[in-house]
Amino acid sequence: MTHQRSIPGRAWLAAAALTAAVVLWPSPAKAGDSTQELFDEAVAALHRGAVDDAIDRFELLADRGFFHPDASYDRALAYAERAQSHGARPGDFGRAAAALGETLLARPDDGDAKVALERIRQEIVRRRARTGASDVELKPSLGWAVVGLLDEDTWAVIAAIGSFATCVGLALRLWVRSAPVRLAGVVAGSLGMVMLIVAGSLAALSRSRRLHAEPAVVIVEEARLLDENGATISGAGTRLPEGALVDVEDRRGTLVRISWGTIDGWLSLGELRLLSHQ
Amino acid sequence: MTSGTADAKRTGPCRHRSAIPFYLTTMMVVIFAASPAWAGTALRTTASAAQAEVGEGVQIELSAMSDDESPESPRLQVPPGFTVQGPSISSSQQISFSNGHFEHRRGVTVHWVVFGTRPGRFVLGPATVQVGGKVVQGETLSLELVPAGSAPPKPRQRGNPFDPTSPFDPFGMFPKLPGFPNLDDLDPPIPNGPPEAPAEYQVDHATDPMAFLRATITPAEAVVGQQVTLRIYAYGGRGPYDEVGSAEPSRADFLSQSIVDSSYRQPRYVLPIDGRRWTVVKLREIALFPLHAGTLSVGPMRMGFRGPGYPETTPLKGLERQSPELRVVVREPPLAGRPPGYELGDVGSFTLAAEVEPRRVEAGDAVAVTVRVEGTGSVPHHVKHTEQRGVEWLDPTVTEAITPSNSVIGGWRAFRYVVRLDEPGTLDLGEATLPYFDPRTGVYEIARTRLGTVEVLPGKATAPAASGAPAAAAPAAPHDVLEGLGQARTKLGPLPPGKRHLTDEKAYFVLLAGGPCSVLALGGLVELGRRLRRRAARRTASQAALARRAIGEARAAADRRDSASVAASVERAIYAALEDRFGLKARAVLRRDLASTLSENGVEGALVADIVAALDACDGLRFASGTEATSPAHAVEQASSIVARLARGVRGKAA
Repeated sequence: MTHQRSIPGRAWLAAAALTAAVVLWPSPAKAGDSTQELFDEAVAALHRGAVDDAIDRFELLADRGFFHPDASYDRALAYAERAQSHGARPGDFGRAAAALGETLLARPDDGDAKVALERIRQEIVRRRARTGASDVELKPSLGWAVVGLLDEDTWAVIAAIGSFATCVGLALRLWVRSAPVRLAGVVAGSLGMVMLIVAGSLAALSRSRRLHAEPAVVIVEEARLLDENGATISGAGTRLPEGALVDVEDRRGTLVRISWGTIDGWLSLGELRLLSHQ
Repeated sequence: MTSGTADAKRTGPCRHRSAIPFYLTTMMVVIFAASPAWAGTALRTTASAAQAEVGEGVQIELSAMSDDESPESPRLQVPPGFTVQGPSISSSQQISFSNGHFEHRRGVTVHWVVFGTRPGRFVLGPATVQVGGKVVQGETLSLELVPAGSAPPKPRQRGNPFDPTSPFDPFGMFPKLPGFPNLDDLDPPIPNGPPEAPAEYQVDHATDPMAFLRATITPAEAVVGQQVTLRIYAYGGRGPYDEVGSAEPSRADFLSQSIVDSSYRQPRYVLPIDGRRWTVVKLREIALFPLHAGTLSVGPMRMGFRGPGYPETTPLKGLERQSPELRVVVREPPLAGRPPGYELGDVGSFTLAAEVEPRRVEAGDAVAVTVRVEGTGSVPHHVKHTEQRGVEWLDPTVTEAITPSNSVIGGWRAFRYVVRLDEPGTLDLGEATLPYFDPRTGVYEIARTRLGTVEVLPGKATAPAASGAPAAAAPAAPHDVLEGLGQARTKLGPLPPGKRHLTDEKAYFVLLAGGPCSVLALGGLVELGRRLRRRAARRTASQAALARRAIGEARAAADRRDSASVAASVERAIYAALEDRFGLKARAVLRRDLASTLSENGVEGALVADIVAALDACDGLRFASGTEATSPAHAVEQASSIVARLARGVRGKAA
């Protein structure tokens, strides 16, 4: 009897311990909640005009590896608001542009972010013009301009079509005896081969850039290009304006190798903000 | 051992003479020279004494730092009658990080020792350097020379084994002359012998038999912004030496602050290493603050040992040695527990104090808020304060006093804000905060101080609003860049699905190139099969094949005991083999001419005889009867042998 009575007691103890463990154990959902709370606090601070506080919380979210296009958008608003206040700090507009860049990387069709980014860039240009700084518009090199003509997937589809046409052309040329059909095969195969080589190369380049180049934005009023030893480079196009979008291709200590338009060079990592993305 | 004894003898007098000159001088004249001649270059000229005796050496130190090129060609102007020893030049670099920019400054520290020959008050300098081709000068120094022996006695500094400023015997080389009292004996003897070297100077083994530099860095693992201390020591095994031609260690990944920037004022110790006596001095002690995470390196320091026992590796640069390169593993402080507003690099232990004056103002007026950060570590350049509408904080004026204390950098930095208050009423300014990471406890802390309340009386700021003045009279509001755009997003929308690119599929590029390649390969295989079939057909129709087939038929006929068929098949086999071997249509040759024809075509005699015999045997099989005829089986074997020999001939010819 005694033994039988003790079983329910132990079961209660076990159930209580299990419940306590479930309640007290920090679950992933709990961590998610704290992220949501931090976001809510940041938005509240932004609404009451405490932009420094809002920025601190948005940056802490980013430090924790949290990424969301809406959080980046709000961070951009906070930086833009501070940039236009008495408490403006150098590079605030650049940081706003970087945050909007993150939003657009994740959500390319975000209309508000597009307009906001355009306006911030215009404001940077206006302010640079007011201080007498010459603004350098750099277009990408011809090769990258061609790569950028179409989306990576579009190049990939064109290359696939070229591959198919090449197959058909070769088959006709090899196995059909009719001269007109064989001629059609030669033409189709040649065109397909050209499409395959050109579009396939561009798709591969586009993919390589997507995988290996990190987009970043200049977050100082003006960044001067350096050589790989850290010495400044002089000449036209060696001063990158705030908000300029660059591709980071390599890192070495506190220096990063970037490409900006047709120019390659090194910058201090502190002058850039790497864009987070999914 | 002899060397050790000699060193000991030299060391003793040197230590006594250290009571004489500038090391015992207590007063330091420090003049910060303005640099109007060349912006970005800072010069500081100091003298080891403001008063000295005639003939006593006075050390002049010039520190020059420049934003641009490294200062060079230092010169020191002295009045007539003065003699100058030196200069001894060491270079330095300083890298600082501010507002996202690295500032790189280069500098030199120059030492001269000057000796006056007559009493009086003199003006030394200005010392000058060249920076980028322009001459930059510091300020002059005032020096009073008094007759020898008239200066008040100076306290002794222990531990300096030699006196570099002695004009007569800077390295203690002069022997004691017999019969003359040693001048050093006039000084009261030091009762306890040479001071014992502290533990930080001790090493187990010498890395070089003559001289070496040792560098240590503590701690070897740190977080971004935490102080690590670099110490570099010089060890000389051949007696006293001087530091010449120093090159500072590179430390581009750190903010740095010197604690010991020269060995001139450092005590020197004599300690035994590996059974020998070594003279050791601390060359540098530098507080370093890592700027980023990673394995960061501190470059070697180079120095020349100049002294009587040290051969020069390079003229005027003494015996050159360099310290090893050091590495520090630097990590970012943990993300767990990081408070909002924490800025990377705020590491140490700090407290905040604040003062607000006045506590009662009219709206539109301002109060002064002074927030003082104090503690050890890299004292932050910022504090947080509560933001609220109607309170405008202007940029602060910053004053500071940051100094090393017991090898730890610390001090205070005060931020004096002008805060304009526009809203009448009792206003709570909130608090000033400073989040920081304490490396000793490994946790984040937030230093706080309450700012208290300020009573804001209705005043000039509210008057226009109360009087209902037109808005046009107020200054135009700044243009809002984001005007008209949507408000801040209060909810996190759905995340767009992760885009999967076609080129990310592993099979994509394989199929892209594989399709045409497969078609080409298939076409090649088809062509290959076609050729193989053609070759097989040709082989089937060849004479050799006919010969082999005929042999087979002959065997079959022999089994049937069909002599006529055996004869016909054997003849076909032999003729086909001959045609295959020699291209000779032997069937058209008369039998009596066959032997000669075969011989003319190069058939060896034995084979010719066998061929003729076989053909004759075939005739026998057709026409003879009974025992005269050759057996069909024998005829077949004979023909088979002939065909095989002819075929070998074909292969041998081909080979």
